[in-house]
Amino acid sequence: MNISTALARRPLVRYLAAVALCAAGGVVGGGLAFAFGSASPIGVFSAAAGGAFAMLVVAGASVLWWKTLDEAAREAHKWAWWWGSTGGLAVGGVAVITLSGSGASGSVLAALGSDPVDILLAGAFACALFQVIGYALAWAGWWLARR
Amino acid sequence: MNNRLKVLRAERNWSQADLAEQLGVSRQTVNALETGRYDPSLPLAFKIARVFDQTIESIFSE
Repeated sequence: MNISTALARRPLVRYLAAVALCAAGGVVGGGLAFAFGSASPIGVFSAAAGGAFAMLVVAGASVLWWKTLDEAAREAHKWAWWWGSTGGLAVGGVAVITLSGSGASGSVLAALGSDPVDILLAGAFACALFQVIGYALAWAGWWLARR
Repeated sequence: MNNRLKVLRAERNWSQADLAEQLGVSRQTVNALETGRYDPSLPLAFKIARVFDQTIESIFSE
């Protein structure tokens, strides 16, 4: 049995493969941390393992929730993900570019915190926030158009 | 795509919730189907045809 057959026939294997792929993100992050900083191996491993475990739980809950949806509800979410989230990210991207080019970025960054990690997380949170807003609007619009 | 879902359901005196339960979908989905604003997948179209004991072509039309 080759890998693709094993993935197709066994949901648990498919699920663990997806989590392993997420853990690869930890390898990328850890590699960057070692390459550009004085990262501690224990810190990198515990952060990567914690992140992968969080994805294991979130992905598992998402799969269980997804299975409860009927096809129209799934279509609404897929449509919202594509149009709403990418649209929201586009709007957020313009906002971030405008902010960074306005000359006021220094004071804005100072308000977010002095630690680079705070600024990194704030940027990630801002992108996710725009995506979630776009997603919610698109999802509501999909259902409103089909009432 | 047009369909006769609302007529067929009314003939049987079923509510949207009744039909939704038989199809295994939500009432909102039945409503979206009846208004013609959501086209069902082929498996769902077959299920609808079975529930009403009709062919797909007699329920749905372009």
